[in-house]
Amino acid sequence: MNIMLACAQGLSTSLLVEKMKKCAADEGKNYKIWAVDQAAIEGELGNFDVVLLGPQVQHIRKRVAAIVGDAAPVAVIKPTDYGRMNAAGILRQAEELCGK
Amino acid sequence: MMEKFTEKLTDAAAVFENNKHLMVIKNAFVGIMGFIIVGSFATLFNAILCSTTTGLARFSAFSWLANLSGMFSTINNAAMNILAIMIAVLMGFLYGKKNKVNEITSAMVCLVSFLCVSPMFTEVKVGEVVQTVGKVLPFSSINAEGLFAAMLISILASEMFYRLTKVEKIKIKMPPQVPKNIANTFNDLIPVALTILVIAGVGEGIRAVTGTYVTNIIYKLVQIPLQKVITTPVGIVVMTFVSLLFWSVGVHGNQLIASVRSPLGASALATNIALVEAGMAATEVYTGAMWTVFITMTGSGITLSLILAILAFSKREDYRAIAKLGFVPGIFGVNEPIIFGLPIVLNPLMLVPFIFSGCLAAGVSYFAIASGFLPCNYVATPWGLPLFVNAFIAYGTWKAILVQIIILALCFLVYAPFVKAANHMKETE
Repeated sequence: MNIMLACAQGLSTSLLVEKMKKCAADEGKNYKIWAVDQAAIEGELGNFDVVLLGPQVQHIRKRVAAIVGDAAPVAVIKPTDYGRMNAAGILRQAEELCGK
Repeated sequence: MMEKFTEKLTDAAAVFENNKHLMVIKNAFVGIMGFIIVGSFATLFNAILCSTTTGLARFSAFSWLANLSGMFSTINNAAMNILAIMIAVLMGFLYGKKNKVNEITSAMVCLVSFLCVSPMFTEVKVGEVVQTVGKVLPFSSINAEGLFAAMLISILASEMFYRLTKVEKIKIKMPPQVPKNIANTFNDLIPVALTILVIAGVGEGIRAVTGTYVTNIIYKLVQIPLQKVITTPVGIVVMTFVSLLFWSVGVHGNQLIASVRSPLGASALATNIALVEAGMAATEVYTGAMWTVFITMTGSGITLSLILAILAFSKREDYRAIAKLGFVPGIFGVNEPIIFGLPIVLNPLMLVPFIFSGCLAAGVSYFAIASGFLPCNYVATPWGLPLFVNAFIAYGTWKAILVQIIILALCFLVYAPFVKAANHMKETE
């Protein structure tokens, strides 16, 4: 599964990405996880199975959903999960969105 | 009540964020940031290395450094004195991308349209006589003085160009054998010509009536007043407040107001650099560095103070865990862990000191600079430098670090009672 995270500059989310990668590896799952700036979402179309937005850009969810269309589910990461870097919880969220 | 408030603010944020023009302005300034940093560092090197009065070159062993002064001045001129051109081109390019028309054509239309309404002569004093020299493009036409003119003309030109490309009637029909790229060039030709003709025509008309160039009118009637209003202490505190208000519902307020903040910061910085290059003291209090180094140091709302207050007073395990998690990112200005993890967002108890701390930092740093305790900043610093280091680089004196410590201490006092109050509240998930 390809999980793409997006936030304001791709910086704070990249911290989380490292944790999620480690968590997925520990669970023996071969996921591709990466973070981009929200402006770069369009260029990544087709590369991801799910887009998770940092809560600080929650207001762009509708616009992103319109860009992505039916290609993949778009959701906002739960603020507390995001802040507390609850990588496992966010992986579950991504899996649920993809129906896994 | 809180839900309604959140909804209204996120809607407002979406309006901001979905506005094509504000997005383009914001991203154009992101694009020139690196060049502003290089240009301002060239001035810094001139002052600390090459200057025979303030730099290393004043010691005879290093006097050869003075020879590099010309090069650094050239770099600074090449980067800082063409800000308006950079912005016109970048905005045109970004509009082209957004509008799905040829980006390069769009960029060039904006550039040429902007120059069409700019003065192309300069006045030189020879002895007592002022002579007008024609056929030159003076820096004052294309540097920060032309910044807002470049922005406004780029909005006009790119919109006009975009709409004209959609008009079927003025498209040149090429036979199907002609390669698509060639056909596209011809298709863009009439919209390009019309856009430039209209803007140059209106510009010439305004100049004929008023005797002033459009760019000068925009500079005097838009840029200077806006700069004056927003860079007053009240203006800066209001800007901080708005940013923090959006953060309080979890929206990245800092980015949201960037389309207002960045142009003003860049033009003030250019003014300061020009003054320093001319051997005078910088005069503009508000620059981009003031925002990163003081107003949003350790993250919007001076959250490192909150972290320290938690480590000192909190009896709550969840608070202490988040504080430890957020400490190191906080040093580098990243505070999402604490904003969302504690959380501060939508937490009535924490929002009060959060917003107050940010505004306090704005007030204290303004006072520190305006009073002359700190010099005005002329070195652009990238976001993400660690605390203290960023202050020293931006302001070139240990006193800047002292101001940071004072702000940290004051905000610590602001947060402390709220952290203690949180001890009495139940842990909530």
